[in-house]
Amino acid sequence: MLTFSANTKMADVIHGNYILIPVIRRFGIKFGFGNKSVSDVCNQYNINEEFFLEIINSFHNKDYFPDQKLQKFSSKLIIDYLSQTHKYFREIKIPEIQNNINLLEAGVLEQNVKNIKLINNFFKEYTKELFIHLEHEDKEIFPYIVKLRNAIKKKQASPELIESIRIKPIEKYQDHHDNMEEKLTDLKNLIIRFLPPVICQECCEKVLIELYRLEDDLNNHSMIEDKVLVPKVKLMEKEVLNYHE
Amino acid sequence: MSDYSKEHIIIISKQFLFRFGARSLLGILSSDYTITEAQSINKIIDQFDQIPYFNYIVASEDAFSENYKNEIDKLLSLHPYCKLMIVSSKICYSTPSISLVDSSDNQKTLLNKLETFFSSEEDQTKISGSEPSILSEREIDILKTVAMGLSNKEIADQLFISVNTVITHRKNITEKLGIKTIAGLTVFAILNNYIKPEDVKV
Repeated sequence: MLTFSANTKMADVIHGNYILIPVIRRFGIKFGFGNKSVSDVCNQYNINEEFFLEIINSFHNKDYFPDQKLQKFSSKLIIDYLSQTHKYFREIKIPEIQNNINLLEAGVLEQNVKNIKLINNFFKEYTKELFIHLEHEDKEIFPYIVKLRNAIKKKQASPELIESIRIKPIEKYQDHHDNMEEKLTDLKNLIIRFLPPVICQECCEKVLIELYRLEDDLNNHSMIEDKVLVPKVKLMEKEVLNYHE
Repeated sequence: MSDYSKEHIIIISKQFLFRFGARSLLGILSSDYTITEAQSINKIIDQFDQIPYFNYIVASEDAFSENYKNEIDKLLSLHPYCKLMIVSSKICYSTPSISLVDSSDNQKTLLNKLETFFSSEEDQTKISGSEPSILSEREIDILKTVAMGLSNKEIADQLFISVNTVITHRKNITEKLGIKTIAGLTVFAILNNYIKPEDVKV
C-alpha cells in the first residue's frame, strides 16, 4: 500500500484516501493547496511535517502503526492533535450523525417510529458516555500530562504532582475504550440486522456510513492514546519520580 | 413474466386516479387476471360473501379508516392466504402478509415491488418481526432477563439453571446477534417485542 511522503502532493493525499479529509482539517489545513507538496503545506501552516505524515499514514494504512516513531514526538504535539480530534467528535461528527438519525426518525412509517426512537436513545446514551470520556481526558488527563512536562523541564515537581503520580498513574486511566467500541458495533448491528425497513433508505445509509467513519476515527484515536501517549506518559512519570528521589 | 392466470385482484382506493393507475400498472405486468375495484376496505369486508375468491389486494392508504389495524386483521382473518399491498406514506403494520409501498416510489421501484408481490418468492419488504426467530426459546428467556438488567446469578436462580449455563447461553446469544452490550441487547429485545420498555430496570 502507498505510503505518503513529504514530497507527495497534498491533493494526491486526498485523492489517495478521502477518509483523510477530516484529519487534514484537524490540523487546520484548508483546501486550495494547488500543487503544493505535504512539506510545503506543513511549512505554510507551521505543522510538524513528520508528525503529520505519521498520523495520515497510520490512518491510511491500518497495518502501518509506528508507535515507536510516534512516541518520539513531544507530548504537547500529541495532546494538541488529540484535543483537536475531541473537538471534531464533539462539534462536528456526533451532531452530524445525530442529525441524520433525527431525519430518519422524522421520515419513518408510523409503526416504525418506536424502533427508531430506541435506536436514537441508544445513540444518545452512547454519545453521553463518549462525551464524559472525552471531557475526562481534556480536563484531567491532558492537564496532568502538561504538569509532568513542566516538571521535567524545570527538573522539579510539586508534592501534589508526586502524589498524583503515586495514586493515579496513567495506567489507571486506560479504562473503557473497549466498552465504547462494543456499543458502536452493537448499534451498527441493530441497524443492519434488526431494524425493520425504513422509508428513507438514504438517511439510513448515511447514518451507517457515518458510524463506520466514526468507528475508524475512534479506533485510530484510541490507538494513539493507548500505544503512544500512555507509554510515553509512563516514561515521563518515571522521570519525574527520579528527579524527586 | 410470471403467469398470474385467473388471479383475482382487488384494488381499493377512494381515488379514481389511484384505481385507474393501479389497473394500468397491472396491465404492464400481465393481462390474465380479473380486477374488482372498491372504495374502502370496509366495503370489501361487508360484502365479503358476494365477492369471488381473491388472492391479492392493492390498497391506498385512504382505503382504511383510522382503525386500520383492526380492518387489516379482519380482512386477513377472512382470507388468510390473501396478500395485501398498501401504498402509503405513513401506514405501517407488522404482519407477514403485508407488503408496503411508498407512495413516492418511482416507476422502476414500483414495478419491481409489484413483480415481487405477485410472484411467489419471499417478499423483501416484509417487516422483520414476522421472520422466524433467530434465537431459541430458552435463549429468548435468557435474553429477556438480561435485558431487564438481572445479573447472571439472579438469572440462574430465576430460571433454575446454573450460572455456567447462563454464561453459555449469553455467549451464544451474542454470537447469533452480533450484539454484546446489555444496552444493545435491551434494544434488540424491545425491537422484537420480547419485553416492554417499561420492564427495563433503570
